[in-house]
Amino acid sequence: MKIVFPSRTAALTLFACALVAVAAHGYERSCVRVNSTLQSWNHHRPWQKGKTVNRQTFGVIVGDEQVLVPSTMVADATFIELERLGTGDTARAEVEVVDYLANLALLRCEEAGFLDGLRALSLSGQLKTGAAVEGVQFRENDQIEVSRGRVKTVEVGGYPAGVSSLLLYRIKIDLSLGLRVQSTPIFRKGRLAGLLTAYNEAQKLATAIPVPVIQQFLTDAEDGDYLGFPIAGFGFADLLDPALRRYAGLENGQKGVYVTSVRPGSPADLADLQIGDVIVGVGGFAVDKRGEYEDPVYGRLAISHLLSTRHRVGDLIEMTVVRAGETLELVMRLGANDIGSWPVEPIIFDRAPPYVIVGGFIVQELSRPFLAAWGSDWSDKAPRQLTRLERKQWDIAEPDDKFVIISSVLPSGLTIGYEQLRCEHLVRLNGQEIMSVKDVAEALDKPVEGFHHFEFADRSPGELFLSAAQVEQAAPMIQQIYGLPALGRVAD
Amino acid sequence: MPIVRNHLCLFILFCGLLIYLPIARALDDEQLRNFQNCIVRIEAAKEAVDYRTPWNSGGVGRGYGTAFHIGGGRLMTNAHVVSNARFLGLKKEGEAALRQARVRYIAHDCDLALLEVEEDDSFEDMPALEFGGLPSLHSTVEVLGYPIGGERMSVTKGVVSRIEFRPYAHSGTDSHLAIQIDAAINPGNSGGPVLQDGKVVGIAFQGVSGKIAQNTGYMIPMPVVNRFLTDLEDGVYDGYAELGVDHFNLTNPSYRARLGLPGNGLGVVVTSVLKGGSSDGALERGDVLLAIDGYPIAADGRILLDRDYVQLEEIVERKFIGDKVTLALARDGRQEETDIVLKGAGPYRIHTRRYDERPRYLVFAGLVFQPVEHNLLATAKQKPPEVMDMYAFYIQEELYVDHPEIVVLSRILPDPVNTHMDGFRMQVVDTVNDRRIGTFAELDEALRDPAPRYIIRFIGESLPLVIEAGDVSEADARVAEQYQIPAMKRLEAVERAEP
Repeated sequence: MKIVFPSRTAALTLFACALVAVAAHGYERSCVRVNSTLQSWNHHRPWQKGKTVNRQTFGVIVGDEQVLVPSTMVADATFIELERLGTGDTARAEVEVVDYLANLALLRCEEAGFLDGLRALSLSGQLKTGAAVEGVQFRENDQIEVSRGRVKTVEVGGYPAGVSSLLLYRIKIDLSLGLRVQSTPIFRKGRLAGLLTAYNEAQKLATAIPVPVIQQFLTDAEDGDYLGFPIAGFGFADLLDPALRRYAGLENGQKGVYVTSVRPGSPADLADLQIGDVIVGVGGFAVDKRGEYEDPVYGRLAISHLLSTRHRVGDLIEMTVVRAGETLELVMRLGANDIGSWPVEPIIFDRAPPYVIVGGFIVQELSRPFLAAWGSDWSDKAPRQLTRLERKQWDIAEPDDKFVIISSVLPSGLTIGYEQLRCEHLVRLNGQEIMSVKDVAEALDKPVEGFHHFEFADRSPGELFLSAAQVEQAAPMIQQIYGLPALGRVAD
Repeated sequence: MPIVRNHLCLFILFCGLLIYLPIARALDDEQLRNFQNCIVRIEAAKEAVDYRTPWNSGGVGRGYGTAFHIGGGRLMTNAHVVSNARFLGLKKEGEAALRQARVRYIAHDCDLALLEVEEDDSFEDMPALEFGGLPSLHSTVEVLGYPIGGERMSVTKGVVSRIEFRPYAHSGTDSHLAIQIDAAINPGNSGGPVLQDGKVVGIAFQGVSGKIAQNTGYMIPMPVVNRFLTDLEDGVYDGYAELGVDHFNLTNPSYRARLGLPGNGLGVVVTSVLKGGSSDGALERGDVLLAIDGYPIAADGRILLDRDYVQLEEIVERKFIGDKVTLALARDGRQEETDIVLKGAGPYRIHTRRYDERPRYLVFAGLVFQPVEHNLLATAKQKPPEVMDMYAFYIQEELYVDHPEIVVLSRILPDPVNTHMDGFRMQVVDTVNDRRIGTFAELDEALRDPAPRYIIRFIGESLPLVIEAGDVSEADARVAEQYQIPAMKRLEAVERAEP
């Protein structure tokens, strides 16, 4: 049915009716306020935490008395509290399931019966471009104000952790009250349609985690063994250039993308996908020269959607590739995205970074949170030897190996002449290969002829020595004058 | 109250003038006139080469500076005053005529140049300034010149604050002895003589820009000037020599104990030796350098030379390419001596600002290739990590061995044949049709070699760039016409015609 508004007044009347109708949905009976206090570890002073940050958001009650929020609201949380709208009653909550790559977390209230009288929301169906949605804003008195908007585009885009690309809604909506909280749910016809995580005031454009992502997260979480969104483990480039298409072995009119990287040990690698292959089909869909396929629901969409959201960990997916002019069918079993095994971990939440202090040397593992101290443009600003390790981590290290660095030096009598040491990549200690802080702790037990022998990747200084006896002797003094709670923290 | 204080200040100032001014005047008046006759103002028309359009001639701007006569019609100034000059005019104080000069010798590594005036005997008869020595700390010097482009000679007084090894801004990579004075050195002062007791003790050359330091200027001291004059005696300026080693200070007691070194505070350890450099074959990583030309090397890399603690490299500073240096070292517990014949800068040149050169380039199907050097990167907007890593680790990781030159696809002149190649910009060329490209000339050869298509691979990038040979000549013709490129390549960095 098509509604044609005869006049502006009529439109406003209709809108007013809609507001009333919305109020009848009782969204406030499905939401709680979530107050959290976050405190991250200081990745350059790994023995201590940084400043606390307070966050406030609205969680949606789903399933069995669980509260759904974006994971950015509970990352490194030291305290989480649920607050009933209207009454202001509070109770503590804890994170039950979290997926930082999909930016979703499920909280459970520690107090039984606290959510009594509140109603869990069910999920709406998949939204197409143009679908009408409702966004809620909360007034000071916890009254809900509903604004209407429309899905402008459905696309695959980067999520806040900077690791994964998943489905996203871009929603045109006027949230003129201004968001007093960092995120808010969006609804369609009384059901949950997404979680709004960013809002551009000038363009009145919101970014939201869409239903399919939430759906998969909730389904995966149900059995208590959360696997996360799958990965394939390859990179590709567009094949827009006709000369390049011919070189890659495509026939006239044939389309596809060029595989530029295959991570060792990844599902793509195990499926025998190779650099230089041209992917022409994925999961039964034809791939175009930009790496998009025709999705039955959303239209043109990046193929990574097929690999990350449309399928689950363990699913088999067929890939059609052209290799040296021949067409091959490969079957890939999608795997879990185990970011903890990355040589340079992209995110570290809810756990302390390992470190060892050796005679004043601060020894730790290179991670993206460590690099983030150079700002959001750390890839330009951080020391080159470190950004190169991050960029080439898969070419030079195996999964679970880490790059150990001496990040800086706490000067003492032992470190005279070594004070300038910064961000040196430690490759061997006392002749042992070093692939983790744990390796360092073990190698320290075996000094060579009374000295700890540090060998670095960079030629200058290349190697250094510390007297093992003096390191041991000075340890209490260093711990005391620099106020260190401990001289190390080694992961198991 | 404020008024009273003002009067007081004025009074003190006035008394000061009464007492000191006449004496100072009496000293200066006569000498100043003599000095005025020895110095000239330089007006230079300088071309700014744009590495983004290497086939074009650059915009021409004006620069001013100072030069002084050192006898025989030769005038000394800074290299940066006359570098990239297309026309040089000299003007004597109080004369209207502008005389055309040319650069006889130029040393970009120490920012000095010698000029000559052609077909003009009046410069031969011009009085010359004499050279003095190193001024002592806290002594007073006078800076002569034409700061901020003024027409009349200016004189500034300063005190010698510090004599130390400092970076020379002109090349961006050289450090030599420099003298800091508490007189501001402004543009136009450059090349002007700094005098003490009527003799030249230095050449004004750079100031400090920024907010921290004020009234601070630097002059090139006589050891550097004398070295320049000696170097060019054979008619060619060869430049500075390099030891070609990196070393690490041995001030740490553990390190010394591990190496079995005595606690005498002597010695530095060699951490790397430049391949093909002066010390290649003579020194090894791990050698402990104990003395250079008989001067004991302290654990912080310094030697006592002329009552000053200076970096051990100062010995090399004062020598010339081809000279010998004797090093005493400890290796495997034994003491040895070795003689090293000094060589020039070698691969360090990649990081140096270039002057008086026309940029090299090659255009192929609208793709512009250029060798990486400081000047190219200084103007590049896009700086992908691969090329910046290679540039940064070029010496340290001995990349110069396989890559005497780093060749990049610097830009793309859009043409139907290269529409989809933007992603390759500023990538480093690895191979062309499987031929490894280590120099710019090798790229030219590989692209001239007949083949059905040219497959260009880049370092750290698995996607190749493919140009089909049949498209090249038509594309070249279109690009040359469309973008007005007079020549499709310049393989040698042609020296500019002397102004």
